[in-house]
Amino acid sequence: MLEDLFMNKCGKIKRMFSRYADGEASDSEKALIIEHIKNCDECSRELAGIVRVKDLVVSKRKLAVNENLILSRIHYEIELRFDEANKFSLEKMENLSHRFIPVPIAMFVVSLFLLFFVSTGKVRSDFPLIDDIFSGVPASNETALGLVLGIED
Amino acid sequence: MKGQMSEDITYIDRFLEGDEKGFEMLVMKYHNRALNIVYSLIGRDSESEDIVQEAFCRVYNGLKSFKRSASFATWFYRIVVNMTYDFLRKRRRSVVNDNVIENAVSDTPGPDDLLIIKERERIINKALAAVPLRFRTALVLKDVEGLSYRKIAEVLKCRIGTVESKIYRARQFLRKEV
Repeated sequence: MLEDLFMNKCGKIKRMFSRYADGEASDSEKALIIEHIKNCDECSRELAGIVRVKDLVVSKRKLAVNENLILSRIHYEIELRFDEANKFSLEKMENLSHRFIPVPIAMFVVSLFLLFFVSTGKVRSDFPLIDDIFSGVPASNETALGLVLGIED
Repeated sequence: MKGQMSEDITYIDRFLEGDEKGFEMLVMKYHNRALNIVYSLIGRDSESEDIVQEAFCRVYNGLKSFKRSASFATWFYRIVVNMTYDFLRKRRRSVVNDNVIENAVSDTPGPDDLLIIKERERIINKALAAVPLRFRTALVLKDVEGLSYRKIAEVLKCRIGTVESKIYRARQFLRKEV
């Protein structure tokens, strides 16, 4: 029973080891750990092991690359992407224009065709007189059509 | 830390006002730090450089949308860590290659120390590679970059208790390996 309680305490203490090794433990936690490892060889060994591996990783050789070299590389990469992005957007616009320019042209042709078809067989006298237009009376669509087509007798 | 944050904000403001020097200062400040984080996570120096370079390109394009609720360092390290994860996901391997470590760019030590240092590095990198990535990242951010638990929690978007537990587990793995 006493041993179980002690093991349970070991578990709680061990969970604080990393915090202790990293200097993030509070004063009360530190005191608790120090007090515990005085009487517990297993925890003492584990803490020593954790501190050792921490020191090992901290002492790991650091890579250092010349910053100017890096800067020139990054700038080159950014410019390259900027150019590609521009090129891409131009290409995209070109594609869009290829795709969409025929649409208004087709609509214009169809409109002309319809206008011609509607007006076929009609003469100027079929449309209201131009004097009607200047009389202030709102022009009807038919009047406008007659003016646009300019159909003579 | 607050001084560092305001320094970063100054650089960012300079950059956003059109002064490229602001961005260059950020690169100067964070490049080697990021490089060491990535190198410790993937164990390949040339690919680490590529990842960091790519991260800076993202920063360059994304600084306009950088929300100042978090520090630049947190935001940047998150980008670096995520890009490293992407890299590892694509490569599906994170085993350290000894030859790569030998080619690592570093401060040049004296010839007598070189063999010892190389052997030591080989052991550390091999041990690090044996630590599962989810634990390794927290450990690297702590022991290589020296971030606080709170900062690591912000970078990894998890609780401080989780960070502590991850670091503890990583060190347990390391103890078995070295």
